[in-house]
Amino acid sequence: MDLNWSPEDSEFRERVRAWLADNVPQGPRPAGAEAVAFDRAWQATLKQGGWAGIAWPTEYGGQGLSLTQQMIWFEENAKAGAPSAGVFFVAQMHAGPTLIVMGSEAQKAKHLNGILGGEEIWCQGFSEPGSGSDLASLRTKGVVDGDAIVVSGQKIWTSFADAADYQELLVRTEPGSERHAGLSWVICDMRAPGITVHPIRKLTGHAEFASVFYDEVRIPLSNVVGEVGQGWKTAMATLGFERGTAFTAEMVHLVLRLEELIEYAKSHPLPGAVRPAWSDDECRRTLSRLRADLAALRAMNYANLSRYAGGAAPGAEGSLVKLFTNQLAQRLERVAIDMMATRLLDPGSTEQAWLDAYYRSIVQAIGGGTVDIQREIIADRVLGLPRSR
Amino acid sequence: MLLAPDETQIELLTAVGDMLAGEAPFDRWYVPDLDVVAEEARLMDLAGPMGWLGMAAPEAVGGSGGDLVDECLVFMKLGERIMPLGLLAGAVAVSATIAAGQSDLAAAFIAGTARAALAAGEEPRAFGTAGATHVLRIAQTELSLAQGRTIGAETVALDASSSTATIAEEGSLLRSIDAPLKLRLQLLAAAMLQGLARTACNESNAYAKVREQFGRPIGSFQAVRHRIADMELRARLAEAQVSFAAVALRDGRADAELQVLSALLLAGDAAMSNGETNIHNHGAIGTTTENIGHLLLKRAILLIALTGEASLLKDRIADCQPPIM
Repeated sequence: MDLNWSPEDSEFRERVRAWLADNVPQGPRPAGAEAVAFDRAWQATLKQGGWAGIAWPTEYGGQGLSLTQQMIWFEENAKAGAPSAGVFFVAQMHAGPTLIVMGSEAQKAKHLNGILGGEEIWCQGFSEPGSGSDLASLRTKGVVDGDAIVVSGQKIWTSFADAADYQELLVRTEPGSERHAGLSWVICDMRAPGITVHPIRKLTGHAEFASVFYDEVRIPLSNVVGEVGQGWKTAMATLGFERGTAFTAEMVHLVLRLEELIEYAKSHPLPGAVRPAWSDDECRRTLSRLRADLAALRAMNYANLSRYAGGAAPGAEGSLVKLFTNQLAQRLERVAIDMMATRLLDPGSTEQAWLDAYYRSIVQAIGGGTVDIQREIIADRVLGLPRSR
Repeated sequence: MLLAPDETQIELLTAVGDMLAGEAPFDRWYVPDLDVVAEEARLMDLAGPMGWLGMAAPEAVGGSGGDLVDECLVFMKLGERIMPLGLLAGAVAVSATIAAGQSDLAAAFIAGTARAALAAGEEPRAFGTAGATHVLRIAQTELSLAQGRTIGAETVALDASSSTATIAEEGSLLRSIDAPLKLRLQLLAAAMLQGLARTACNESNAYAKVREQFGRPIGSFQAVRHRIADMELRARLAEAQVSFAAVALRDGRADAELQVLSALLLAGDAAMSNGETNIHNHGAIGTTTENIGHLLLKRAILLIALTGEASLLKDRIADCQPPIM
């Protein structure tokens, strides 16, 4: 075992670092409508710099980087405070990879370039009011009618639905089918007649979420990705495309955030105290424990990556990483706001950003499969325990 | 960058695991009035022929020419089988004597003709004393090695967890304020604690598949499944961190101390938490001595007390520089 990077990987890291130093925008990502323009500009900058689609194969305009280099890319991005994919998250990390693995040549030709260049924004249409963790219970109906699928129903928790050009939409196309059978994965044009988007305000104060209503929306059959009735297979095809490197950025963010919080604790007192929070045994030891846990989160990221790079098929290890990443984020952000207490009450204080992150950590433990669902996956696939459901 | 065992290491671990399953089966503990001291002596007799204490030692002194990572991997396996503490003391005695240029003594520890017990602080009591000729003492800032002689009869600490005796040190052979050497001991202790956490998880997993209540295996109930998923997470985190720390210490990385102390803190917590949860998962059976659950927990208590209690570790982690990213 070793922790050294090969000369090529070290050279790659230097190149990434230098490019980011010259190109990362100054100042934070703006809120609201300006965020879309900001994300678009960053995606265009990436494309221009030759960094778009780092996990995508080169034949589709991506960079085709090795897993190690993908991880280096995410590490350096986090260290440089580079913007995340923002409104392009679904397009970049999910819809694009799905098209690459399962799409027709026409679908690839139509969408992949636009996704890489920051022209196409996608959103996800999987969850429904009655189908959250139990995604396979979804009921939004798609009726095959000639050369189209006519969709009626409702999706929810759709991030950036109002800004999106397209949606990856999972609908039930076989009447009477149950669970994973009879679903289809379709490309839905968000400007199609019959679609209504209702924004939902999140606890973070932003209206990034929406409910999407479909009233007999006609979607061409040629927009089905994979086969009609085989939508679950299509939805699963993207799992493992990133093979765990996507968590790397979050891991590095948390490590850097904790060190920032430790510096804060050295210069700010606990509520009602005079001496710095760092001199309080309980506070200091809580932060130390987080330091140790984050070291282990990083080690687990590296260990998984090493196994995948060695040819092992990515399995449920991703669930262990996601579970622990979410847990640590929640613990870290909670320690922060406990320490900041009354300083959070002034709407103009610099501590407000920590409050946002605290709210976000609660959301993260739900999105992309709740921590409870991650434990179910671990129990099923890592431990081989009898199923609970 | 590679943080997973290679093929040679996987083969080695499989061989060690198979061998231990045969020589140190858990059910031997269910026999009433097991002679713990004799049993420890028997297992220590295997260390020489098996080469457990010379994993990271050069071939010139009878070692197998591997490195600290190999040694840690083997110690995780030894931990899984609750093997004697004399192995931990012996492996560190090998490193200490090699560093001090005492090759003959290093060779004797590897061959099993010299054996070290483990003591902490100023306490006259040592552990893993079965057959011990020497005592390795861990103090706040230093490690020392001396010849030792047990005074009075050996008894058993924390039930069947370890032989123990008061020991008289006869002339210090070496004192080391070499920080990496103490970190090495803490790292090997972390590896053994990881092994305990792994076994506790495996025991719970196996039991949850066969024990039925309400007409179903208890492993189908989310309350139980989620506890075992958390056990798996703790065992894997400790495993990954022990490996990371082993490489960091071997290579003299600037953040080696932070990595090793983190490994010990996490492995200790994993061993305690998994030990407790495993007993709970076994219901009333877990609270009896006809099950190894209590031994996993008691060994964890002993190892943590001797090599690094949580609040001390956290205070030292607080003093470390941030990790190298």
